[in-house]
Amino acid sequence: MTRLLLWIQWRQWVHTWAGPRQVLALIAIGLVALSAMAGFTALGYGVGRAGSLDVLRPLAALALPAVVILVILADLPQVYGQLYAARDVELLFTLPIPTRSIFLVKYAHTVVVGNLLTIPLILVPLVGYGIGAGVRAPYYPALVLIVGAVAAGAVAFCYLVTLALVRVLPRNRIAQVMGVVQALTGLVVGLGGQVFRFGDRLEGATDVLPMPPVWLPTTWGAIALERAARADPIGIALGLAVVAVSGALLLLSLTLVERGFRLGWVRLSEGAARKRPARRRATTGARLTGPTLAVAAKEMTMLRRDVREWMAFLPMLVLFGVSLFQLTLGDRAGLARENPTMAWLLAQGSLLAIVLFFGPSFAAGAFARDGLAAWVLRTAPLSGWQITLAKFLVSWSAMAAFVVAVDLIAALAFGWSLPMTAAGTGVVVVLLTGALALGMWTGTIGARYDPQHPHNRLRPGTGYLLLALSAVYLLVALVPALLTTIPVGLEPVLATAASDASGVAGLVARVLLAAVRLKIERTAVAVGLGVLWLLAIGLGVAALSLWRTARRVDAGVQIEILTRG
Amino acid sequence: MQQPAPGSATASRAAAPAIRAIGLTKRYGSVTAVDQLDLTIAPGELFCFLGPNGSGKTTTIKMLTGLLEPTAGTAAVAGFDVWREPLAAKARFAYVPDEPSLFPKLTGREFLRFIGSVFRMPEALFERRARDLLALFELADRVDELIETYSHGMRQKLAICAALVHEPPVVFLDEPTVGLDPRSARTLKVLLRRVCDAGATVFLTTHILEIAEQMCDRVGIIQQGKLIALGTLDELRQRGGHAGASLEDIFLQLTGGAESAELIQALATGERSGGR
Repeated sequence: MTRLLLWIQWRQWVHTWAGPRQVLALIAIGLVALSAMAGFTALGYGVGRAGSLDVLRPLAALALPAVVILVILADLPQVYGQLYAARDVELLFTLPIPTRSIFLVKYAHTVVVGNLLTIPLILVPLVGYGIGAGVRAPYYPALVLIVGAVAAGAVAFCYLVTLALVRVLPRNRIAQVMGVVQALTGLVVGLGGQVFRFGDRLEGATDVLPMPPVWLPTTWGAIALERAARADPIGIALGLAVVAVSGALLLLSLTLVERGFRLGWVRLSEGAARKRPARRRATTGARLTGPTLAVAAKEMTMLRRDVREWMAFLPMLVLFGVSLFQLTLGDRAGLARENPTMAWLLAQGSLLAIVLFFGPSFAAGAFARDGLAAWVLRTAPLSGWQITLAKFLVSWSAMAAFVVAVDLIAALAFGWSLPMTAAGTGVVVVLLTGALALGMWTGTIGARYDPQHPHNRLRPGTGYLLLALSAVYLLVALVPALLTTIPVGLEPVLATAASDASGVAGLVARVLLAAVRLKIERTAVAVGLGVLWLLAIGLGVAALSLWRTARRVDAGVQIEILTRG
Repeated sequence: MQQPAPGSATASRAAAPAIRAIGLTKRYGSVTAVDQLDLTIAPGELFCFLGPNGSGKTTTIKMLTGLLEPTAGTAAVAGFDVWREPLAAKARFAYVPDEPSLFPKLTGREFLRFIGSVFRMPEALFERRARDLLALFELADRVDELIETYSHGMRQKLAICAALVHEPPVVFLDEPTVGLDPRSARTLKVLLRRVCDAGATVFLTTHILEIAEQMCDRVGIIQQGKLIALGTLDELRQRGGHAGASLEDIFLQLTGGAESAELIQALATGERSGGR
């Protein structure tokens, strides 16, 4: 039965990719992948040539956990959709097919399709390393076996977590919790990266961090690879131990299949009959309002009631927290307290960069948020301006509140004056206005609605476009921000830096010095110029983007609706 | 109420048909989903739009409501072109799709308030209309729960309440009885008839021919994107020489479903499989 289901999967895959256009796309993807693999092999080869076999163990001990992290990041969100949201599950459960077979096919699908990128990213450089370091032949099959086993084990872990969560969580919270789990996983990985960055500042940390604990199966895998590279038979035993752990994780998840998968699916799909009486909600907006306010109230209510919507703020909060944390570490702590102006400039710069990068993607989701209910707005007598303005107001209010809150926290932490804090907040909010409007316009180009991942609201191409636009906007916006906010007290520091530093750093220092000197000599002109430029950039881009957005809304925003199965 | 001056633009719109489609066409590449559809529906008329699956009913209704841009032709509601004067047109109609996906994180009451606000309804009128409709469709007890907890039928009923709460001159309904329990289906039929008797226009698509036979003033039948029949039931009977025939007979005759009766008979008696 499992083989039959695998054949069905294969036929679906063939039908998806067999058209002439798809074949061309496959060839293009293949060529890009081959080029990337050649690059990765060369990278690994370089490391292998430069280092000795002794480097392999710590290298693999970090590379194999990276496989686990990449698999969890890439696959955890997919697993829930595969098991509980795929449209084929309903049909499959009505056929005389063992649940275990359905589960195994879903698992195999995730191992293969979910890791098309993940495994080569780690496997290929390690192959290159082997060639460069001149390892013995058993290294290569051992590498494929161990990386494959680690990836398969990580996928089994994803399934295990999902099955367990579905068993214990209340029905109506599962989808939201899965979204949060996904965001938190990303956050943990991000913070993990920060730990490495802090490593150089924490005493003795560098001695501990490079080698993960020996009880981790991934460390066994690293030792196995090192032994295999030396053609030592003990490598086989350790490699098999890694395979055994992956197998055990899969077996463990198989024990939950009946209750977690089949009964879990039943529980998630069941109608209102068995569930507890739904909570009655206090109705927002007790009186009827104008159309624009009604759309804004609807947006805010939808945001308020779905915790996943707020996940966009988590990375911003963490990154800003990390930036502040770094300012309080070691020598920098004293410097920040002695020189609050410098700390203020750095904090505002970080905040500006963070909100200009993450804020637009939050705003870009405003149109896809309507998802399947988009027809309601499209058939209502609402102009593009009314809808755009309402959605923009909500995104802007949420982001502006975030900026004000974190600036106040930083002001209290570093003892900034009220005018300093207000000026910083004002500059960031004005520039944020343009960035959010730009994000909204982008959201009308490539809107996507995925019921399982409502925070993922842009098609990939549009997402990259938004990143590029945000980067350009940030660069253009930095000039007026600097002219307006750069403290004149930095003149001596910048003068030294401008004469000492060379290259890009020297150029930046000289530009900043010129700005500070202009501000010293002609304060009113510099600040006036900065403010005018700031308003022109922030509000000008906002007006233009909102106008274009409204035009697109009038023409009808097309939302790509993702379904599974 | 002030009367429009004779000959003015307002007067000509007041006299305009409730729905008018001229040469309405939708093509997807080489496939023509709707082909040169001409249709005029008078105010107060209850019009049923029939056709087999994939014949172009939903495409037509989406073009008439501005959800789909026609490849050619025009569509107007109450004299306002749906694509050139969209706001004026949309202010005069309501639409209930066959799969009414609503904002899941709003309660039923919040959704109705949203619609009331968008159509700038007076508070008192909204309260009265909403209360009556919710009671009529037996939703009053669940109206403060999130829409995401509603069944398909409840969402359908809420969408119908939202469509009727602001008393639009024209109502488009795509398969409105699908998912409704028999009592709600009966309520809807009676209500739509009364809405039309009060002067509003209803354009509905349905597969249930009894509904069309019992309720509709006129019927349009579409097949492969072409309007193949249009008129009252009596007119259709006369034109095709089907005196005394039911709408089902006429529909099957026109859409070529009659020949499938033979196959059905053969399958039922097992003739085709040699009686196995």
